[in-house]
Amino acid sequence: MNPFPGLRPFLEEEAYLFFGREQQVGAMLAKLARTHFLTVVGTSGCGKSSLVNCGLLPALHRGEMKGARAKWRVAHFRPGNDPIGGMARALAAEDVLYSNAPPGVFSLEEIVESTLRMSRLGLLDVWEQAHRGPDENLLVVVDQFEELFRFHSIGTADGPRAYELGDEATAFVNLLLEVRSHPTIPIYVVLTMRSDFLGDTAQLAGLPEAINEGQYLVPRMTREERKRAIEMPVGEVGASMSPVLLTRLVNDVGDNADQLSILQHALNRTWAQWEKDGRNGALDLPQYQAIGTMALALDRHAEKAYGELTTDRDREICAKLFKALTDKATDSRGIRRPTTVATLCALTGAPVADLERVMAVFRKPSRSFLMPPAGEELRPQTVVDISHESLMRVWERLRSWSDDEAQSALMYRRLAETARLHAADKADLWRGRDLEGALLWREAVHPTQLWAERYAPGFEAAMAFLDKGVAAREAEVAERVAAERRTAEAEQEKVQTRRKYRRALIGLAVVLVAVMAVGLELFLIGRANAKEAEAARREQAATKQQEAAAAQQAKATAAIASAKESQKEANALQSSVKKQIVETGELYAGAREAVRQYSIVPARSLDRPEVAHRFDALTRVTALAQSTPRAERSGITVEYFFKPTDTADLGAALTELGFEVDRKEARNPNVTNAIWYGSEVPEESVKLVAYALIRAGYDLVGIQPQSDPKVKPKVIQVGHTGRLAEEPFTAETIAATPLADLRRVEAPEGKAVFRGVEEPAGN
Amino acid sequence: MSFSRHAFISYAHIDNQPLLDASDGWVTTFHRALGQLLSPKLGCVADIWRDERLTGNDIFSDEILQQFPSTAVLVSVLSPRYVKSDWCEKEIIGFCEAAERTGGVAVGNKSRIFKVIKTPIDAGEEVPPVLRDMLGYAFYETDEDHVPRELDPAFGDAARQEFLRKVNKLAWDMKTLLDELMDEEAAPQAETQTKPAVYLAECARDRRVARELIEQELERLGYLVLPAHPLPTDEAELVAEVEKLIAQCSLSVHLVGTGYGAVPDGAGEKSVVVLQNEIAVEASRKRALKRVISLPAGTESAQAAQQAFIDALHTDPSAQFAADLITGSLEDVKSAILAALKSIESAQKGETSEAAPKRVYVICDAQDRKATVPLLKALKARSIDVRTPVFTGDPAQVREANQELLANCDAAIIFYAAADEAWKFQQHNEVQRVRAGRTGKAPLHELTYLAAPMTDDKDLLLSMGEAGVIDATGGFSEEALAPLFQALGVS
Repeated sequence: MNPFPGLRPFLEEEAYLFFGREQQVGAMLAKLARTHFLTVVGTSGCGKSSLVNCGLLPALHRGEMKGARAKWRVAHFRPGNDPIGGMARALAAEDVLYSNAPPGVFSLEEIVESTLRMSRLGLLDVWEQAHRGPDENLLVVVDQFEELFRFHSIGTADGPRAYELGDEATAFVNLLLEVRSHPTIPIYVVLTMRSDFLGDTAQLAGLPEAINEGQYLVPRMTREERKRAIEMPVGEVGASMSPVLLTRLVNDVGDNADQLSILQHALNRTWAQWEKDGRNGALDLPQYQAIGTMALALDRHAEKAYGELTTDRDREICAKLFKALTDKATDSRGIRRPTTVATLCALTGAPVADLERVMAVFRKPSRSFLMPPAGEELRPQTVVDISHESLMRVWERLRSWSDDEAQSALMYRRLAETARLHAADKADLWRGRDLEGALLWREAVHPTQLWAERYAPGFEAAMAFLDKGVAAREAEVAERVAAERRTAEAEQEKVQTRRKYRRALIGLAVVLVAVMAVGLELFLIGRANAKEAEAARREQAATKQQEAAAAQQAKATAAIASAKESQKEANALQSSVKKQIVETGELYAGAREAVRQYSIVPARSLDRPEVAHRFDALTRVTALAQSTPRAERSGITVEYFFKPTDTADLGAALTELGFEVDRKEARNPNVTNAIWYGSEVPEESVKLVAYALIRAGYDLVGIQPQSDPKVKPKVIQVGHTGRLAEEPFTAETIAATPLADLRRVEAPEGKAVFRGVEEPAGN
Repeated sequence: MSFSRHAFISYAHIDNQPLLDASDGWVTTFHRALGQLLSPKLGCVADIWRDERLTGNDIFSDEILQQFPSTAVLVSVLSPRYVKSDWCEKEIIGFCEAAERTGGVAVGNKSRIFKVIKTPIDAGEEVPPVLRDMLGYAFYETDEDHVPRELDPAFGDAARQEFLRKVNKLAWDMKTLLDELMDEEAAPQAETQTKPAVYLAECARDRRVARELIEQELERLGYLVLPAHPLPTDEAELVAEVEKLIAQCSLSVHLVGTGYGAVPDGAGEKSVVVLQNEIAVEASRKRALKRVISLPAGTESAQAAQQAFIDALHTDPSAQFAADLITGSLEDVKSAILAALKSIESAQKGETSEAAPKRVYVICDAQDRKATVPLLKALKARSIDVRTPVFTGDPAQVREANQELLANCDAAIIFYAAADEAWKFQQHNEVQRVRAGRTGKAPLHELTYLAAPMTDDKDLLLSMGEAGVIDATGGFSEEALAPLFQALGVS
């Protein structure tokens, strides 16, 4: 049998294996006898519970406490989240105060609890009503008293008092404290508590005074005592340990009391390894090293157990289970959180059978990472707990789980608190990174009401607050896109107005010049054969008039120059409009990216086709250029008629795509809106040029083959047509339609939409 | 007096009809629960009996009457049907008659009849006089619409716990009564007699559970809680009754909540909660009645009159007069009540010593103890209770004992001999602190007794010629003590 308990404390019946702290019991007895109220304080893992179980209790039973009665009834419990109920269960347990109690309307436990709740004398009343013999004492052991400060009224109250200790804790402590006022009644109270919670005791009136009176701070073990604690149990069960291993262990554990439970675990594992190796000779270094030494044994052991879970689902249940059982969020010191099976089922979403299967690998007697130990049935009300806090510090996987959980709880608390403030009109909706973070969290964690209640009240309000934030953001994005569109449209309108104005101006200037030139000529011819005498004078006058005409001509030229100037301005404007269209596309892309990343339901307004298809074309240019061989395009020439009104010059872009570009300056002011392709041009090249045009902001209305296959077979022409229906292609249509089908029926020659169509050669 | 049976349960057959065929009726459950809870308190099996009433008719059996002389307590299960039944009248009258022959229905200020109200009786219904003037144990709850619903352990966890709590309280009270009744030797508990009475004011429905919890704790701790009878419903009578009751109490406790409370008939149209508070304020002004008011933080009422009362309690000094207003939880209220009672009790202890000999505490340093002997002798000769400091033992206990001496003496003499100036100065400070904290007691006289050796400090004190300085630097003399005797009124 393995003489080391591993992670759990020593039990009372294992006192014969408990060594090293023999000297400390006397002081505890003296304090308990004097005050009836002893608080055993020490760091986590220093062995408080073991010291009480295997040091104090055996000494009491041996009658070593002076002045006390001979026999001891012991009620042993942990306060958990129901301290008075816990005390009642412990007192009502068979053979503590009662044996073979007759059945009745109420269970013994209920009656004891009712009596405890009647007044602060409740514990004394219970003792009196049990009518124990005159030679008996009652010892009430409250193990892990600090649980009282962890399981207080979370979620039971709103407002500023929500996190204060409740009436339940106060009433419970009053029951215990009352014992001190009645030294003639043979009731004794022993608390064990982690020293880092000492300050919290001040929340309860009267408790600090009681602790001051009867506090026992567990001393660290000396080197000699540590040696005894390691070596003696081995000898007790008839085995031995090599001096080398003993020295190594004593050094590894060091002065850190926190390490004692980890030492116990390593010893337990070393023993198991030694048994596995055939129990040859003394326990020795190789076995200790095989289990990973103190530094790694626990982590490895736990990982081994975790490794026995076979399915993803079990592993998921396992993660949720351990997250529920540990708590770093309420207290960064990291505490365990005993939880009932019923609650665990709800939190993990797993039925008891699944939970039991997952827990089984951690409950094996050789492991006992989880309580209750193997063999004990799991009922809905059974409380599950990790056996020691050191597991939280040493098992890397659990550490990262509980860190995740703490992060998650922190997020929820922040959210719940802001939601509360928002409801009170003291905080704004979340946006930006706050909102994105919260949405990612919700997506990843899928928080539930039950889960949330363990950390803070107000789950529903918090979720509603989050939804409200999402709705506000969608509305905001939609509004921004609409605003961009409105600006773009307004700019375009301006361009159109200016363009009309410019056309009118040019027409006027041309007429003016022509009229003046003709007038002058007629005047000169008509008068040339007139009177000689008047010739000189007329010549003089003519010269004057000529000068005036020249001046007017100069004016006309200036007017033309100014018209050109405004044309340039118009061009600049148009280019800015197109730039904005591109930017709007990018904005849309950003929004879409957000949609994709955060799984937001997209706002419908984002799908506006006029913005979307330009962006779509860009994507398709890129994709198609990459998917077709560049060499295919090197033999293809694009005749590109750059128009005075065109803003985006596609020359460079087409060259970059691999085409030979024949750039020409067109004279007519019509916009580029059509392409013609020769018989040997590959379909992809045609579509590539089409996409590029759409992407650059042109409305493409025609994609036509050359009417004669012999004409310019390897040429794509880009120009303007007035003979095709004015409904532009979208990139999507182009991609989805075979090239031949894209051809549109041309209007008869005479019904051209615009005057002065510039037909490409040969068309 | 000795009784062979502890209690008899009187009830109406209809109140024991099971809801389901297989289950127990309410009275059967109540009977079993009472037995279960009373037995451990008595330390033996409680003998509680009732007529099974299997026939369901009203035939009254004389066998019951014959048992009454040997029965200590009658538990009467009240319901509308019960008060109309023959059993009710016959059993109550029969028990009362038998009781007259066995020491009377009343034991001290308690009754041997326990009224358990299963279903409340309408105001018009005839209730036997002996039950009328009794508060009783309400085994029902009323919801917001004032509809009563009986407590039955079968109605879910909350009802089960509440039922258990009430049976437990009833069992406790029965046990206390039975102890007094059965054991003639035992004098009425000395503790109960010296403990002050508490007026726990009637409250509105929403604070009733809190009131019951406070009441049960106070009674368990041995305090007499008033009112012990229902208050009159007429305003003038109610005021007179409350004044009378409060006059018997050293502390009044008022629980205020969202409800305004019942309004008695009368011109004032004030609720019983407000009236009791006003009467208590008056008593506080006249004779320093201590008061505790519980008003949970954030309490708001939809009723305008109640909201006005709540506002007044928070802000109006006359409504809050002499009261400790507790906004915390129930346990906070209990702690405040117990703290108030503790100070009342310790003050009472002080009062009783008034007639006792005057007590003088002579503060001296350990090295000067011998030098005090002539002074001590002179004081004792005048039958003054002289005390000197404790010097040995656990420092904390020594300090506590000496403070206790100082707190409970009529005069303190600082015996300033070999000790130094700092010693004298700090002793004087300590006396002053204690004197400042002494309210409601006779004043504490302080004298400084200057003994040899002479020092500059003592010289200075003498030349200042202050009152309360006794010059014995030249040796002890009776005459120098005259100011002390004068102050204490001893010759």
